[in-house]
Amino acid sequence: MQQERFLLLLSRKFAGECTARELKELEQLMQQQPDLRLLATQFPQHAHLHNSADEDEAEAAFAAHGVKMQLSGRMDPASPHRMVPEDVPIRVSGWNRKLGALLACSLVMLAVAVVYIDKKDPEPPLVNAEVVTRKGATSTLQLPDGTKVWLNADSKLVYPQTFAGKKREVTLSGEAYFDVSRDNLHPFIIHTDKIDIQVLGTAFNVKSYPQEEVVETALIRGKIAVTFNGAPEEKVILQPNEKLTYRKTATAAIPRVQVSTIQAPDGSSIPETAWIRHKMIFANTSMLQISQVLERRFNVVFVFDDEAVKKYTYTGSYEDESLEEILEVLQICRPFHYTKTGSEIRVKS
Amino acid sequence: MDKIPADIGLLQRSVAYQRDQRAYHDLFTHFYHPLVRFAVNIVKSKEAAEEIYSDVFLKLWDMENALAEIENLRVYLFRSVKNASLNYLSRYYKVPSIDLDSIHLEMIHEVKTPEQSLLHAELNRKATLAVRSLPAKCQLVYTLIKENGFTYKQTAEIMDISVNTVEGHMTTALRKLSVMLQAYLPPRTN
Repeated sequence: MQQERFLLLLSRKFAGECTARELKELEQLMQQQPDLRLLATQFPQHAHLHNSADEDEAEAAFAAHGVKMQLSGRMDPASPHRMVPEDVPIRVSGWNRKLGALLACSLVMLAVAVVYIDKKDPEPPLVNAEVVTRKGATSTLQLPDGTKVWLNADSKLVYPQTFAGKKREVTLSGEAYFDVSRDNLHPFIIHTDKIDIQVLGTAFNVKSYPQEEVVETALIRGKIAVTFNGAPEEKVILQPNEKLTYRKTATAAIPRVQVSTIQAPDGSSIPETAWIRHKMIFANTSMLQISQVLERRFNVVFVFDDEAVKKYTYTGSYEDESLEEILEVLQICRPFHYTKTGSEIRVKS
Repeated sequence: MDKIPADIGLLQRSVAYQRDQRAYHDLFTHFYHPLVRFAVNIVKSKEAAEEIYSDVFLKLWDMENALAEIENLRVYLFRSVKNASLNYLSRYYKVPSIDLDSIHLEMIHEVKTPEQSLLHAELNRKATLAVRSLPAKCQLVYTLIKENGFTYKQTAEIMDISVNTVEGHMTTALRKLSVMLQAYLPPRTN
């Protein structure tokens, strides 16, 4: 009953229809039940901030609209006002229809010309671009096909400046999150040291640092196929929220390839992609793995004087904390000692 | 909305009486994003939504002096875009007329909206997905109020329903959403 009243009042509040008395009542309800207050903050925020890309989009839409206006004869040719803003070159004249037809013709000719040139020279030289991130830095970029890539620290992505041919192929060393533009005709393939990942249009994380023992790929949405270098006939298809772990050294106890479900410890963000938001999430993670993450994040080197400490495990999430603050928290959970000289962190038990 | 607090009425009159194309441009770009987003909610296609918006604006130009008489242009445009979107759907599915209640989600192909941007927190992403799983009318009422800041009365006018029905849809939307959202909330500590 109270819940229903709460929802009614919240509806009115969102619509700006609450009376002063109702606002007070709502506030009281939320004071009595903190759960309701929490719930009230969970409704999606539509923070549609205006940015220049949005403005460009609106301008482009208006330019197209302007052509429509001219072609339908709605434009007053004698008007001193121009239909479009200064930098969009659309002329106002009585020849609009003919001009439009001419324009369309020349576009078709251009298209023919392009196809012709393409046929003549089927293998244009491929120029590769390379993006490298240092330790302590991440980068975001957009590939020529519109695919978005978040590149984590100490990583390298090699991609062609234009995607030609049947496949879109890139090579990754390190860690990256991909949001691949959908294009069923041109599969997107990521080559890493040990595994290849083929996608059709999806978002997922790949972690393949040469110095780390495991290679991981975590799928957020869509579908990907993973193949293993040296065993091209083997193929694993991942479903959303699944993660594939590949071990570089095989042991009898643990299989080389494992597929598991992505776990979100706090119910909101998943550890595999936390780094995109500059967050580090550890869930039962060994000190060795944590040190590798911290090395990349803070550009330091860990030296372990005591092998046992490497196996300590920790759970926690960090965002803006300094290296010292993070180590302090870890020490509270399970004590160890460390000394810092320059960029070297020496760890003892 | 958050930019140019332009005097819409002044722009309206400039277009209506002076056929001012610069003012027309300003109106077009000012309302572009919220209305195209709104149309996408209904027709589930960005291209179709842009087409619908452009057509609505052609009609606005053709109104000439009558344009100056529109009391609240924003409400008028939302209402026009809603009607044009329903017409589009009835043409698309080749039925004489379409009611929002008869739109099933499975009829509609997946569309990528700006809300789906990856930088959004996971929770916000899930919540946005939850909004899109609401029944069509609930979803539109919710979007008009929560996203576009319309009052009950304005929403009623846009949707051609009564104020009471608006409130009913809005509380239903909040009830359904809160059930879905509760699943994502951190577990109670007590």
